[in-house]
Amino acid sequence: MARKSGLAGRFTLARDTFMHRMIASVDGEVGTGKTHFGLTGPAPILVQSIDKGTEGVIEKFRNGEIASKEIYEEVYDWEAAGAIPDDEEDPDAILTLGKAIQEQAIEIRARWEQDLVYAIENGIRLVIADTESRIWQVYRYADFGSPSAENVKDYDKLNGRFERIVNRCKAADVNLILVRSCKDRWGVFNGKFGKKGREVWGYEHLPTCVHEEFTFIRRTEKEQDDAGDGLGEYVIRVGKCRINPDIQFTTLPRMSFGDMGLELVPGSEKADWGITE
Amino acid sequence: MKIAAINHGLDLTRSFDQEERPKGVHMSDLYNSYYAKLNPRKYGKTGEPPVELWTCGYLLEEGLIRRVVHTYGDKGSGRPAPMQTDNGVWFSPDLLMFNGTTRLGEIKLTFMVPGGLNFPWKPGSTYDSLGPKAERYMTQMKLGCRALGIRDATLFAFFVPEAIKAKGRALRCWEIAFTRHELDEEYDLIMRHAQREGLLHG
Repeated sequence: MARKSGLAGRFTLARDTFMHRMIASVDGEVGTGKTHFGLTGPAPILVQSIDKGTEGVIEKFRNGEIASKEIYEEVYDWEAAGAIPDDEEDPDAILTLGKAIQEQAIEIRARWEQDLVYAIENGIRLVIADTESRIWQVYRYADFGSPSAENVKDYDKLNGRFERIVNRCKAADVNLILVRSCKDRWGVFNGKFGKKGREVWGYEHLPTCVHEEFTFIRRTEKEQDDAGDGLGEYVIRVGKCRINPDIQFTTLPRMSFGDMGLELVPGSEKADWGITE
Repeated sequence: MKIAAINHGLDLTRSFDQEERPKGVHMSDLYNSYYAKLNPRKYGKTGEPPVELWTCGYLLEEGLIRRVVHTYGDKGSGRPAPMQTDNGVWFSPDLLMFNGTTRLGEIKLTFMVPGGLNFPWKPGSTYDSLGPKAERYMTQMKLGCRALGIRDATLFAFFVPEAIKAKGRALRCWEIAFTRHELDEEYDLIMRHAQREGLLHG
């Protein structure tokens, strides 16, 4: 029998197996379980929360109702929407408010990046960006000021900096779930300007950076009957799927992070995804 | 004047210093199959391979390898003979360089247009991605590095559309340091695909 060296008293033994991970965008309407899905992933988890949409979701994974996980929630207060009242007509006041918003955006961006790097360097297993849509807005404001600002816009620089969020996780052994919101789709339809349907909003090139794209959908009874797939009310539509092209553009029943892992790598075990509970 | 067209008689199906392609499964079979499945519109084209375009690449390789080795390489640097992984897959890096750090070198000639987040190149700057257009190049280099047990690579890419602009930005070069996890993940991904598709026993 091999003698132990005594090094284990000081160091952490390196893992001897390769672990799988997800770098995924998760979009869908409010209440379809996007954040919940992320929280079923491996702990410790960091939720970078900028959308005030996690209330009542995280608690269940902390207090034992669903699990008792090591979950950290970092909240970023971002008040851009509506910060400049529609009835404000004084250009100086608009300019001052615009500058204040940009300064706030720069501060949030710096905190977001520092927190992410710290988490990656200190053993985090999963980061949930809640929401990617909102933090993308912050990045835009930080670089360009308000959307109507008439400065020259260097989108390559902005995009590169934003993609670093994803690339930092890719380079490490960290899962990343980028939650994306939906909003009304505005445009000219049948010659009239108005809204029609819904669309995902956020960084437009995100699909090229992530490894997996999931859309969480809640279906009406009619939609379930029309689909005839027997998958129930809540489903997950898989878009791009780098890790397993066989399930690209398929629809799966709603499931946890660990079960999704088994779909992504058939034959793997939940432990390969860091799920031990 | 009398001008006669002749057949040049040159074998341009591979680089001059490149050994004949060994029979068996090659790494390129595996990642090309993967990308064809992942994105059939972009990578799944069938039909005759563009042999004459490849010839352009071979000619660039021949010239560039000699220059790179002459300028940067230590003894032993150059194009290695084809190698095999533990599971019998052949791979042939364009270049191996020994000069303090062992590096895999890949040389590409491409008609892609660099720009935006694709193939950014400002000497002295560092990047954490070469953009989506570079994904297959990155896969190839990751697999080569993983198989060799190294983490460093150098990519030389010659962009034909940039050469026409004549601004000195046609030949771009990047030194890339992969993380262990990136290499393992990519290798795992491609080998899993190969097993599923039955390519490893072909």
